[in-house]
Amino acid sequence: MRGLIRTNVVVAALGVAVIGVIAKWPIGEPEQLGMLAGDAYRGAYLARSSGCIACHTNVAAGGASLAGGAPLDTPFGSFVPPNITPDPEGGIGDWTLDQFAVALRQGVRPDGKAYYPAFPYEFYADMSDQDVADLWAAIQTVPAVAEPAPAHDVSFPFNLRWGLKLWRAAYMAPAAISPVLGQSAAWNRGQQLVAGAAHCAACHTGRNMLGGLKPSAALAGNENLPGGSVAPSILAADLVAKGWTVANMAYALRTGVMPDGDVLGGSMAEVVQYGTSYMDDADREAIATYLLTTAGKLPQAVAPDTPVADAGMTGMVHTPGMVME
Amino acid sequence: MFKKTVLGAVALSALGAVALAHNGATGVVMERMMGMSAMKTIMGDLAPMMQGAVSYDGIAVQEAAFALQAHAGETMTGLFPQGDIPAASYAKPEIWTDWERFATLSEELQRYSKGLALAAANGLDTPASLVTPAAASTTSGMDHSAMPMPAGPEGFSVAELMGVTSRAATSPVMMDAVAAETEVPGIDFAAMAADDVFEQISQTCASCHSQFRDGS
Repeated sequence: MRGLIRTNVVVAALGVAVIGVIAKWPIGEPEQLGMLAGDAYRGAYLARSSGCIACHTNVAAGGASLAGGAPLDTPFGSFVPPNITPDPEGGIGDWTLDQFAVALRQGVRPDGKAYYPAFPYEFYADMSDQDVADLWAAIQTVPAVAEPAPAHDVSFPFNLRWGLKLWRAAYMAPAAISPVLGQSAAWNRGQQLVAGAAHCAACHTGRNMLGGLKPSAALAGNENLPGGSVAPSILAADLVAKGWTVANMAYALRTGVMPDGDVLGGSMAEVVQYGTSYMDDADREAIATYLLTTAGKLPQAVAPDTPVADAGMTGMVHTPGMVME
Repeated sequence: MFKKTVLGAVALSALGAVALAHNGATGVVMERMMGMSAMKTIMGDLAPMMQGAVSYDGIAVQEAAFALQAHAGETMTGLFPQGDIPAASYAKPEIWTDWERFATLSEELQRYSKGLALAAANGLDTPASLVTPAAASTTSGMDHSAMPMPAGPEGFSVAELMGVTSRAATSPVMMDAVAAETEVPGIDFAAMAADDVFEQISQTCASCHSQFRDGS
């Protein structure tokens, strides 16, 4: 009996010690962007494309821009996107640009604690210093809101933030995007958007029991999205089989109308309404070009044609070199 | 040609009825699924025209607009009586808990469809006399070769991009002058390009689907 008690005490003490070590385990590297000046317009466009506005603004409830988003209900609990307005109390007004860079690209808060992967920082990991500075400049243009967003409501054991350090060690996959020589400018831009800012895989790639993305199922669809939505496969072969082309996908990203005439619903409707409909045509075509490219080539059947009825749309000239090398 | 398509849609609806019956949908659920399918067919026919991928046909657009109008409004809401949701249905219970929102969207669809009939003759361009200098400047000088960053913004301001102001509030389509035949205060459909009205329709569909349709 005495031996059992002793064993229990030792196990408990070891457990506490391990937790203590994990809790002390430092994460995140300091970043130094210095006084890098940002371009608010470029940052605003990037904030739209990256989903910052869609996620951190509760439009349905009439919330102010970036003052905190609608709760995201997941199997782990309900996550509330925080207030990221420039208010020093309620928002992130007392942060430095360097702290913002660490939060955005590494998923670590100024107090050294980890963010939940509900914040898709993995996809922002490869943003340039200039991108970060631009986003920072854009955030400064938004009216400050003093009221912080409500706290997350996450169930045990997921409410223990130190556990996220283990998650990071096991599953974190920061985006690393390299331009591919021989691919068109549109394809490379598309890669940058799909794999980075627009974070398509956050929904269109399946996740394991602990919310880690399954690399083997990249973009192959996810049937268990928060809120009961279903994200279909967006692998090139599946898209082509469903009648997608560069032109009609770019159009769907602007209007939500799919090739069969159905109109996107679920969370993709929000992605279009609050995100891709604000992009310019070139970027929507770039996303489509990247997604529809199979084995390094954009099939002729899905490449954009010169529009027949192009009267007056001088901005829509499709130069042949744009998508095909 | 388009009349054929509309007739085809009617014929397909009959076929669709068989398919849906196989799916397990019956009665009013089948009826509304057929309505939705018919609208999907119309939207699918109009979309390439609105993109400029096929020749624009104003009369066909007008006919399609009338057909959409007939499916919307009270015709649509009448097909959603409160009751148990059968397994074959994509309807979410929120339709009945937020009925007012659902009904508003259905009415909106009807108004925009009427609007499309009014704008059909304009084609893909805003009538020249009504183009504002600001709107005109956004459609010229865009060079797609200027990758990777967007060189020519499509007219959104920093405040619009950041969600501080709504883009609808500053859109050139919200005219102060209200044409006599329009029924939506503040929107002069007769002065709009057909594709802009078509986008209002698709936005209404998307709003409704995202809130009230199961799946995607």
